[in-house]
Amino acid sequence: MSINKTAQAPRSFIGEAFKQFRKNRLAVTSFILVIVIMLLGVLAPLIALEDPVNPSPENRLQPGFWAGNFDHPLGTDELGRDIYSRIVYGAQISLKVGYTVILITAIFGTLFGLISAYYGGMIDLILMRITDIFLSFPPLLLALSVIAILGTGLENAMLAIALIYIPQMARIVRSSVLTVKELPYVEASKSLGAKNSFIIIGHILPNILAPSVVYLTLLLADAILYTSALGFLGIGIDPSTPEWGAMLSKGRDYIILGQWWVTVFPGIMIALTVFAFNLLGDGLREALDPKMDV
Amino acid sequence: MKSVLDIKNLKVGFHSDEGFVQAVDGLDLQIGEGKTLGLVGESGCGKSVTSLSVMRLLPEKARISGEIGFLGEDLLQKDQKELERIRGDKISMIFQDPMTSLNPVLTIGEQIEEVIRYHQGGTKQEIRDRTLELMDLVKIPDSERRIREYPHQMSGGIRQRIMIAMAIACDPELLIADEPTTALDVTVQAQILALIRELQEKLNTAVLMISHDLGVISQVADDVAVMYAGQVVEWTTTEELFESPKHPYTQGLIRTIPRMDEQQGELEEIPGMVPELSQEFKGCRFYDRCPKAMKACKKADINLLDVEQSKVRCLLYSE
Repeated sequence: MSINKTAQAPRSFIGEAFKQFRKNRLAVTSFILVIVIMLLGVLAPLIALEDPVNPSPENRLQPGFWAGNFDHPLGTDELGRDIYSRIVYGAQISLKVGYTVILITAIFGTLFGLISAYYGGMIDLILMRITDIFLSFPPLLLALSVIAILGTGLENAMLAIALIYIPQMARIVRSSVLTVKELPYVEASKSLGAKNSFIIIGHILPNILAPSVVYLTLLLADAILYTSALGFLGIGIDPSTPEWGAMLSKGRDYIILGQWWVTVFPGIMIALTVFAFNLLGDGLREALDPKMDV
Repeated sequence: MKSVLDIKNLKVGFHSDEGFVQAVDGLDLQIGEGKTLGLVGESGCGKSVTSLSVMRLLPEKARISGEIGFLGEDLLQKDQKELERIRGDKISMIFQDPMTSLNPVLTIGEQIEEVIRYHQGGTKQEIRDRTLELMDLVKIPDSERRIREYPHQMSGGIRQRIMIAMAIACDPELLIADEPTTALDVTVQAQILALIRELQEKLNTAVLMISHDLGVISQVADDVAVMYAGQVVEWTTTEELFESPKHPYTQGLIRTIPRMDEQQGELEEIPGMVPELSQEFKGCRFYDRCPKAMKACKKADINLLDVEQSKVRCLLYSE
């Protein structure tokens, strides 16, 4: 049981979590994969072969290395742009979207969840009914309507996706806070004159950190997937942007004609990224959640 | 003698599924400066509700009336801001279970320092020094190292010492100890009680010691109030209580303590159960279980009567 375990090993929570995480090979692999994808994005200007946006129609739809074409190792798309370069730049976009979305979600979701659970009563009732309203829409439809209202563009797409997750995050935070705020040490702290601000920052936030981090990591994968979905539908993102979903969508017409590479490589990248972040989230959950530590 | 805590006619009730529960019904208590009052009673007699009322930590739905005088001011008239300043500074509390009363994700040092920071302030170094001083005061060995450790790295006894250190950090006028030794084993229990006693003498703090264990009370209390079903049934000095208990309930309680110095067959018990507090009472609340019950007991509510040095709620002592 977890109690014995912590008693035997006098090390910090982070240290224990790290040890737990390292034992999980799948999690470590996914972590490395995530690092590689991040490096692709960060180093894009250095490792890309060509400009990802400028078309060169004379090179359109060329096959890649399997046909001996090492100028364009993954081939070119319908406008003659190098697919490898576009994928590398696409990593930048996907990660940017992912991180922005989880940042917005983390801030607002935590805020609403905390307020709702800690103060309770009418505030809780009103905030939770609002989240109910948001949760009752199919997520993609919600994102589409938001984009329809705000107009297309990467920023609006990110906002639309964040709006899907804020209510879910608020729910998760709320349920954690509801448990933590009834614990004896919160009462003990009150009896020693603690202010609400310290109870929230000192006692409650550290205790809801683990479930929040896990949820946000899993959400990152989802956010990337939704960005791709929006790109695939051709909304939210400027068509020339090297976004993986949009690339997938463009290539659709050429699969039947035998030019499969336009679709397959961005598809692999989406799958790989989502897969890596999901596994990372699972690994983190196992490492951080004391209840699963059996 | 100046009284630190002066509770008058305190009534606390809750609405529950079984109807209105009058958990505390007309309680009067006083604690003098530097004195210890033991509050004894069975589970559910209103001991903890009394202590939480003094801290004003009851849930919002609780109905409180009466007066809780603390150094001449009525705590029931204070607003949240004023209460935050009083709690931990002038009144503080030691809880029953030291295993769950400390935050597992903060170090011991951080938790003690926080209390000092609220009420006294000071530079980082001053607060740190005061924390170490407090840890020495409650006799935690190796305080320099312990200050950086987490609660799970310590035993129950040490954790309770930390709770005590936090409670006395600001030299409170009143310390409420709600069954501070129930979760500890007997040897540690004796140490903790001795520590509370010692600190009380050093700091001249009034203590409200809540317990169901008369053994604990006899070791630390100057006066004892025995509670039954939300009321005080006997209130006297500790010596008097053990030498000549007046109320049949107190007599029963003392008989139930196992004794080392006599041959005993079966352990004594008080027959019957504690009454439901959701009912309307008329007359003596102990009537159903009392070996000396009389007809008159059921007729009218009984007031606390002065008998010798004690106050007793029993008709046996009325003229």
